[in-house]
Amino acid sequence: MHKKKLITAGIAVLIIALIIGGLAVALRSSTTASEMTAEEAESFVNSRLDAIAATQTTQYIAEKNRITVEEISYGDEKDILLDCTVQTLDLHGAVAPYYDTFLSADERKETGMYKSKLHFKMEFEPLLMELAETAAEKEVSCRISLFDTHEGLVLYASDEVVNAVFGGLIDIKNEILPRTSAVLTKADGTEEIREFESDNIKLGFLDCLQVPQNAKPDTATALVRFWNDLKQDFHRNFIEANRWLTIVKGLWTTIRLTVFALLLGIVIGFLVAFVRATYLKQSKHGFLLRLVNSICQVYLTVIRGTPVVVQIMIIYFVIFMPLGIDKFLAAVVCFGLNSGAYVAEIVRGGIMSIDNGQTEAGRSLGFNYMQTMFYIVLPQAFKTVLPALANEFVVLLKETSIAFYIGLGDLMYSINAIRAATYTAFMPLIASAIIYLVMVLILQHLVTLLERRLRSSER
Amino acid sequence: MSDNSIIRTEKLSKCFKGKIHALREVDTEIHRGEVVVVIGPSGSGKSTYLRSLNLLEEPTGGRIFFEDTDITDPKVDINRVRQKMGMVFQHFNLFPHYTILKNMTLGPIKLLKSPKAEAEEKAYALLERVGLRDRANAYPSQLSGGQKQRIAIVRALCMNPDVMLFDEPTSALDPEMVGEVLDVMKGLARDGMTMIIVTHEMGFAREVADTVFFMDEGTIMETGTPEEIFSAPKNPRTQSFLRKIL
Repeated sequence: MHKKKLITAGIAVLIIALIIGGLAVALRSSTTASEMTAEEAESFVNSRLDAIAATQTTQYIAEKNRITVEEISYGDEKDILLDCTVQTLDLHGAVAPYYDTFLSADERKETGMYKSKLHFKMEFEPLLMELAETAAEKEVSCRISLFDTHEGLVLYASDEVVNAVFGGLIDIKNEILPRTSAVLTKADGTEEIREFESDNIKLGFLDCLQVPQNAKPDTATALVRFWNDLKQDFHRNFIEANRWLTIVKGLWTTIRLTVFALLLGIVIGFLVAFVRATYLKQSKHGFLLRLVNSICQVYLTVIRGTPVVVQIMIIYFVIFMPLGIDKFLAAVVCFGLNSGAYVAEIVRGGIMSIDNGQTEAGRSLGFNYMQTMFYIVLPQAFKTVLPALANEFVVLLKETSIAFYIGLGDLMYSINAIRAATYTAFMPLIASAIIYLVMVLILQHLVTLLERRLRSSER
Repeated sequence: MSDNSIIRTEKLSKCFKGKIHALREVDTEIHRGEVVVVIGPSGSGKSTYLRSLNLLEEPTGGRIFFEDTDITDPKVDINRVRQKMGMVFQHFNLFPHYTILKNMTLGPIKLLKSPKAEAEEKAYALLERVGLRDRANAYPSQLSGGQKQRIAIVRALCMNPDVMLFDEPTSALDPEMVGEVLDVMKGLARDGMTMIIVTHEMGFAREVADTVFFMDEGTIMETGTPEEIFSAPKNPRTQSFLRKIL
């Protein structure tokens, strides 16, 4: 029965992963299809070409979902490099997440950093070649580089499907210079040597940009590509730069945070529940009990009436940060307080569900109120509320992901760091979901064991 | 007040919230070794009277003396007093999360500070007496009602009480189990235990009681030996009550 449960859980995890994977494939292919229409690409290229002809050297690196444009400006003498900006354009239209300006002209003059036209070309050409070759070798993306050297345009391109590297030098009047042919390997495997003439230089450019659209690879190829993508994504997100270590570190923080918050929550919860149950059970109340009960009630109302995100931000940014207390402690206190409120209500319900006869039997033997609670009522109440408590702890474990809001390096924080570094969402986010799910399953399994042990005492 | 008085109540009153007078100035005296049976119609205040004796119900007026101490005095440690007054409930109230043995030894070990071995020895002896020695390690849910009530009685006895209070001990039992519980109580009475019993078992009352209290409307209407009460009741209320049930 036990194994069956585990197997069921495993199958559930698999199915979920498959569904998410399938969804991702579907989304991916639709993304590819909508990367850029032919007209859009053409007008984009035209506009950039117009700009280039004037004053700039522009390099385009077209990847799956973005084009990086590097613009290099010259000074008046044409051989002094003034400025270089790198701009990443999202193909879906909007954001340019990265924009950087290099040294100013004055700074360059001061440091003697100027480069002749020739120098410039010599430095960039091998770099581009290398880039294109790497791209072709890794089968990653289409890279197109176009230089306006004011003597002519240099074009390089590579693509994972086309598997071609071609380049050419054309002058500003669109006259083609010798190196202007390329081998194009199409998706269906046919090869084609294409000569670039003045009119079809643009077409060559467009060819490369439109490859993902025009090439309709068969299912097997698509699957292989998907599998390769997955492998590569996996490698980039977990293996490269030892990123898995970041995840392990974050996970460790999450576990520590959950355990400490849980302990604090239980202590607070039981104390508050004790006060509330005592207050509600007795008909006459001393001043002290009334005071403590009011405090507990305010605590419960505030904690249960406000979002936990707000609580953690207030506790850290308003209270703890000015005092110089670290984030981890702030998070422990926040989640401990938060969980305590829910535990308190659960335990209070448990205490009040125990038949009054139990208390009377204890008192009639001569136990005082505290002893009766401790030996007789609480052990029974604990057993009653265990499932509800377990549920609360599962919620707590998942809720700690909110610690990310105060920049605590927990699991979610690590996942997000990886997401930002690799520019992918699929792998890291699915990984985080699976890690949380597995932890929850383990926790639930432990509670089942404990419940069974406790139940055996009444059989 | 005679020398061997063990419990005495003076104008004992209990008024529940609102205006229900459960007890109206009850004066009683119970002697050492006496078996008192309290009878009366339901709602007459029998249980309230019994539960007031160990302050499970706090009286709203009057005084209770136990072994010459006024236990209604707030300065008295009621928990110590209760150790001397065993109580048996209608619904047994055994602790379901402990074994029978633990149910019986919890009080002696925690409150009387008896060594565990000694407490268990005593518990076994008492279990032997009620014929349940083999159930020592069972849990309450594994026992029948009659067995539970016998355990409840010996659990109270483990504390070496001077008085035993019984609150309708057979009312929640199936008829065939009443006998085994009453037998244990008869044995106790023979051994000279002071007992105060609220019950509807008139045959048992007649056989065991030294004194019978007839209660109605929160007062003790009539007191006497079983013969006096059952054979020649004087009070018209007693007469009508007995006519109805006998």
